[in-house]
Amino acid sequence: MLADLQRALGEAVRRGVVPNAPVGVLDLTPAEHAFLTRLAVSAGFHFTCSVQRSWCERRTRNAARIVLAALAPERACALVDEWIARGGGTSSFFMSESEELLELIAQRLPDPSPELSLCRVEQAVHRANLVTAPFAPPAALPADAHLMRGRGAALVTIAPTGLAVIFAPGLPDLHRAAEPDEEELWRACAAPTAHAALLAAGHARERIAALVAAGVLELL
Amino acid sequence: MIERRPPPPLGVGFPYVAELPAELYRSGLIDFVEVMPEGLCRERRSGTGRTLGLIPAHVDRARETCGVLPTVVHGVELSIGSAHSWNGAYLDLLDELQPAWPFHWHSEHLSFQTITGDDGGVLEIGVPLPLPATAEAAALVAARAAALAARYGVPFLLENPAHYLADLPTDADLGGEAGLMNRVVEDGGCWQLLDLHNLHCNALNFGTPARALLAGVRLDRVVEIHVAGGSWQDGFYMDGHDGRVPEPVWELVDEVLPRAPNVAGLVFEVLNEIAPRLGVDLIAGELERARRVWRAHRRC
Repeated sequence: MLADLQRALGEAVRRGVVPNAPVGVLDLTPAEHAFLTRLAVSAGFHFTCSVQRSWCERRTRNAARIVLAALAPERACALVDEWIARGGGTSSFFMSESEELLELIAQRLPDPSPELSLCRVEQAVHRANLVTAPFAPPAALPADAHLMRGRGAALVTIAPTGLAVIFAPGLPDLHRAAEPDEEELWRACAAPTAHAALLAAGHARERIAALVAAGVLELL
Repeated sequence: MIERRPPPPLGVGFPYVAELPAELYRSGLIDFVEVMPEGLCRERRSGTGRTLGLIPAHVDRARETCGVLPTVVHGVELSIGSAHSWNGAYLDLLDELQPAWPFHWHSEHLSFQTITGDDGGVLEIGVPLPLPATAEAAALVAARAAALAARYGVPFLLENPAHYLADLPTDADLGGEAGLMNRVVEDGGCWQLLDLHNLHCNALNFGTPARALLAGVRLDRVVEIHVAGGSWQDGFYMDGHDGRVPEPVWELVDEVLPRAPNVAGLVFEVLNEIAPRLGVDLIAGELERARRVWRAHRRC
């Protein structure tokens, strides 16, 4: 049956090996069974697997282009290998994997480190890009609004200088250096927070409105 | 049999590549543009699945570059041959694209690239794989091809794939991969995109003369021809879309065009990420050669 043949062949290519699972669990014709049996010794199958692997590697490197380029080659290869072993790199739309891949890489990097900063920057740019089109700021900021960090926003502290950079879909060039009061607002909105509470804490109304207009903060 | 008419001839085509200078598309070397929708969209994943949405800025830029050149669509994400399901998100993308940028015909690959996992979810294989030449596969794809023709109201083409898996299961009465394609285009009311470089790859890799493979093709069902370059790796000739068209492929074009009355376009195909490295001069050279071949065998 076509579905079972495709599952067996597809899984074999994904794993790079023909599994030894009992073929009886699959609904296969004798010809399909014979084909799968021959795969293990098929040079074409092994070449197909190597092509698949190279495509997965290319997609993975494209999904975290900057930080992987900045790492030592063996370190970058190990991260790519880990991602592919987890099943990553198979989608043509590699950018949809970027968030998860960059988070994995970030967890593997020393904190703080320039490499981690770079990873967070790449993550922030990716996140902002996802929301950019279309990004439209809210028409108004109600007094009784609750605010939280924007879905497409991030604040990255660059090691070792400590420079704070905010990323958001509504910012020109998607980023700029953060002012100290913007850093405080970002920290204050780690969880949803009432607009009134932010004002009561001394944060400037105009600053809050500007951050909402840029997508750094958004209405709940 | 489903009645269908071939599209009027367009001439020499080339893929839209955002990284190439717009001047190439206004040089007079290109009669029509082949657009890959996947290059103009963004994927979003949620708990309910994935969606593909056009990026308006990318579409606008592409349209500005391509100007008034006629457009055809060449997709890679449909997975029309996947038994479990095809990629509905890709069709939603085409639904969005067609009113924004109408196309004269659209094409996809006679292959599959997704399967179901143990949890019933969709797994991507990571490369397209060929279909067995069986009645079951033919019926599946033919039905979907017919649905596509009805959905978009323009001709739908299927491309013969390059692959490295010999001795795929074959029903005796179908006659191999060419027979599979013939059955699908007949029963599905669609047409063929004859990729002569893919045919050349399979001839080299399987030790079958290219002309023997060509003998089984219904040339009256061919609406578009692809030519491309490739390279050898680990003993296999790869369809890399990464260089000049080999001479044997140009020879095949010379043989096919006089015998394929409905061919509407000849496309020199390159990979988007490789095109800038090849350079405009090489690309222009191949397009000029394609134009000489086209004019030698066509009246327009």
